[in-house]
Amino acid sequence: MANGGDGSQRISADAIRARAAALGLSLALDDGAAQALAERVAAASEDAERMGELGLAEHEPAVEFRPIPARKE
Amino acid sequence: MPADDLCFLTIADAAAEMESRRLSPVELVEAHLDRIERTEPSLNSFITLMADEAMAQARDAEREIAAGGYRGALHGIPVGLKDLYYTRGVRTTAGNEILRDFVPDYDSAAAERFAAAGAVLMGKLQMHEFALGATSVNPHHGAARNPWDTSRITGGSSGGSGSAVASGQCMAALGSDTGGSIRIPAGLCGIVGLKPTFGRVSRHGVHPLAWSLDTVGPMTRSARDSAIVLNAIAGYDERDPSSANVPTADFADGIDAGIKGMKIGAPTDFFYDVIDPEVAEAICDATGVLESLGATVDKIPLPALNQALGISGTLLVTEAAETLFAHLRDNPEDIGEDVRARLYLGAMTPAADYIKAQRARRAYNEQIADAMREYDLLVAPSVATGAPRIDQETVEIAGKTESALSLMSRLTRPFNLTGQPTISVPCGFTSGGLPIGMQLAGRAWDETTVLRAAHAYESATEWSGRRPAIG
Repeated sequence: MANGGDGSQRISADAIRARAAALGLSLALDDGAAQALAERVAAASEDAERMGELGLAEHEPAVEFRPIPARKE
Repeated sequence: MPADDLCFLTIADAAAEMESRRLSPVELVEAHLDRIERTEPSLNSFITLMADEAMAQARDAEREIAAGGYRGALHGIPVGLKDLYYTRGVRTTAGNEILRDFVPDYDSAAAERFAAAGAVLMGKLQMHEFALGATSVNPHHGAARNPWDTSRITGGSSGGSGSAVASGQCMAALGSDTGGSIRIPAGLCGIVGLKPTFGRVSRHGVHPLAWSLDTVGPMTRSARDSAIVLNAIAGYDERDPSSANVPTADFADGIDAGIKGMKIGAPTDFFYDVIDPEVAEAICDATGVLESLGATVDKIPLPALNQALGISGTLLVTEAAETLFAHLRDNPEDIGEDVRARLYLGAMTPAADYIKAQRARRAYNEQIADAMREYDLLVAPSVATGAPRIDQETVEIAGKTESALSLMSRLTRPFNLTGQPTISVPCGFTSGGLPIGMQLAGRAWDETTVLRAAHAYESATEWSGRRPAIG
């Protein structure tokens, strides 16, 4: 994992392969597949950066992502 | 009545005939099995057809009704389940190779409730593998085919549910919706698909995909039928931690009340950025119909929508990768290439991005909730284009090339983040004869208003009454 210089986290193809191996994912990723995956991860991280434009919620409750009232017993 | 006409009755009409014993469950199920035999080679709606079991259930229903034991509107009605609903003694593949021979030893809550209502289960329906995709082109079970043009996709992931209901193979089916998987095939197959409020219907025994997004609900040929099915499956279930203990009403109650005075917001952000002009025009016409029925339709800015794809994309693939990680690690060759790529992406996504997406989701939901304080409903297109061909990887829109796959769920995902009830109702056809769908999104727990508006719209138009020529 490397910092992209603009605060975003970027990941290289080699890092993708290393992470896959660390997770025990056995399917070999060739250069093209690893590079494509690295680009998709990077794009998702850029999306995550843009999410800040919404104004991120603070002090998120530990659970409860639902727009619904509290459960009753 | 000709047997094929029986297959296109609404549930409401068939139930009235059944209750008065002018129609028998055996006759109705036989008509559907005959239709399945003729159309299934072209459609591939089913992964597992349960013809013998269905006939046995139909005979039981006939005996019960004859003995005065009519249970209600689903008694003797032929239904299907997407093949990720656990069914005791009947294999449940989730559209995947690893689970090809998996036979659950218990029923999903929805299957239990269908059985309690006396519905006749015709079989288990095609889907996109693991529900992680929106085409239902399945590498292990073949592609589900659209009844309006069998060279085209049904959409997904509940594609078999869409084709079975649209083609008269079943009167209703259940789908699941994590990023649009009920509303997309409903839109592309020309039927009604309802994603209820998150927590409204138990997910117990439904093979999971993404825990904070998965929602299950009905696919039918009318809004009233959708209410009938929702009546059967809604309600608190302590076995599902996401199930909410909130009151359930009769969702068909007041469905004929019309929409006079209703306030509808038509967001101008996001939904029309990438869209086939024919679809945009159909939605414009549909909002005109809603206004003619007495609703007020306001064009409104809702810029939060522009973040919906980024947030939902991160949540969906990351949660799916966690859910399906053991399969990805132990049997990657048995997972289709497209699904495997999405799971790898989820596995590689940094935790910080997932957390940020959940924080952004809360902010997003607050902004949508602000709009819902003023409006009873939001209106939007369901899918940006008519159904692509099965072999089609890209779609040309306004001179630009778009990925067919990502286009499918583009317009539905915004309402999975909020969990609000959202329906897709037929609102026209492309010049090529392919169905177009309109979404109506309501306030949390207010499925009644969503169904009422959908019913008012379909009663004022002729789209829902059309039948595909197949069979």
